[in-house]
Amino acid sequence: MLEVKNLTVRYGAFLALADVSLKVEDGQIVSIVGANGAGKTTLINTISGLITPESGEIYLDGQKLTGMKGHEIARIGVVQVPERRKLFPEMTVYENLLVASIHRRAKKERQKNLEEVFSLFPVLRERRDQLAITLSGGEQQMLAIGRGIMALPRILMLDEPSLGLAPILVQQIFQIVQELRKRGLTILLVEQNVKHSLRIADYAYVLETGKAVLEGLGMDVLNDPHTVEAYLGR
Amino acid sequence: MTTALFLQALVSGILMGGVLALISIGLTLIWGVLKIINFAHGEFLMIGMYLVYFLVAKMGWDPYLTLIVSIPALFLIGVVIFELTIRPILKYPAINQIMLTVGLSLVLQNLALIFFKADVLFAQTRYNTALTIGSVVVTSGKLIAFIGSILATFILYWLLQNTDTGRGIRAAAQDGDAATLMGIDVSWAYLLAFGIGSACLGVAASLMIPFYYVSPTVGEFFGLIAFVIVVLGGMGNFLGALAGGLIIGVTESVGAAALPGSLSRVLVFAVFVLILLYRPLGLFGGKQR
Repeated sequence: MLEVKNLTVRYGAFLALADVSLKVEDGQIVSIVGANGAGKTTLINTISGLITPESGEIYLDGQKLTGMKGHEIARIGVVQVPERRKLFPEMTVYENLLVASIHRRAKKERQKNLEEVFSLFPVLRERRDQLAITLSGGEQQMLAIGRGIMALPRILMLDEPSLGLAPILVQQIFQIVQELRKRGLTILLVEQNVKHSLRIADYAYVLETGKAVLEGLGMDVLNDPHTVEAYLGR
Repeated sequence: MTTALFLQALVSGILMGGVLALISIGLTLIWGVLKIINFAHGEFLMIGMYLVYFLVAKMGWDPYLTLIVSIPALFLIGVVIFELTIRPILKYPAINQIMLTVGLSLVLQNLALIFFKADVLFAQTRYNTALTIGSVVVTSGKLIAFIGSILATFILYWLLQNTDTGRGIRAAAQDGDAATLMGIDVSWAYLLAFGIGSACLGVAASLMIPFYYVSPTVGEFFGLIAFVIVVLGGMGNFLGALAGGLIIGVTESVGAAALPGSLSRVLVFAVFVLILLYRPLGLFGGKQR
């Protein structure tokens, strides 16, 4: 279980996250929704150790993550698939996958995970020796998720996986996320696509200007009058 | 210029170009990963050459045996200098970094002047045998230096392409944050890249000692020329540095045979400017490293 307790993050004078707490239970999909600038990316970058919080703590199964270095957090299994994918552009598809499983824990499972990624995304097997930069947007997102799987996540954090994709691909990405949960992965999903991500979420949080204003079961949050008014425009 | 003279200059240029390429590959690796130009690169080479000189001239070692000392020694010097001086300034503007490494080069040069005096030293080895191929004469030392440099270049290239450590270094170079998110220790990758880039100079020092003199200012020329080659090849580009090294080596050598005095250096920079006019990002600029 991933636990975020009273997290506060500031960029200079700007309060990016104010006393945010949340839990991600094993085997669940937890969605964090909110508008641009609500602090979603700040939240998962802080969990990943890229940003140092002003106060608050983060735990994975009781182990404290705050204070650890970014690569150490990734190595124990808190793996992020970042916004806009951030692939290694001058590496091939295959190299992008290998490079995520350099650390010892992931390296032991490298062959098995590679097979799993190729079975989830057969197109990546076809594109194996192409440079990542030559892939289409959808393929790049698949590679980014595949790369995350190679790092052997105990929890996989997806930042805006549907961003910039055609509607049909958006559907596909959300199906993949559900498929990943079926395979036993725990998922923290950060999305601007409120309707889709709440539909597949077991539990959800709504973030507004750095504060968690609403939480509950995915469907409950989806049907909450505030959500409907603020995000779904009905 | 006669054909024989031209051929001689061409061959000499290619042989020296290989060594220049190896020196430049160290610099281009450091640039590719850290986005820092180490203007003390030539002075690191100078230190390596003094080290090798003493092992060869005073202790009687075979120059190529010194590789087992010069490679780890230069790696270590690179790592220590990186940790003490360069790491603390990594986040600051490029101009500060330039000042730092230029300052470092002056300090190292003058320390060498104090410790080794201004004397120009040359180690006598048994690798001065002249080999004649047709009308072209080369010494065995230069031939070995060329083969060794090319070999070292390809070994390093292979390691970067095909080992996990090499992939980790390349990932850190392409996107530091993404590398961190994949469990790669980026600051370790930086350290390794700087160490390996410096260790290239250990190899170059051992290979050059049979035919090149040592003095406190010997690094000036090599540091500058390596910078030119790195830019010429496309900053951070491995194969570009190899091609650039050979081009500059040949230009220098043929220029020296054809033109009076030190005009060959002028020719080197004329070629440099010409190539940049037509390929502003270098020969292989913006492509795969």
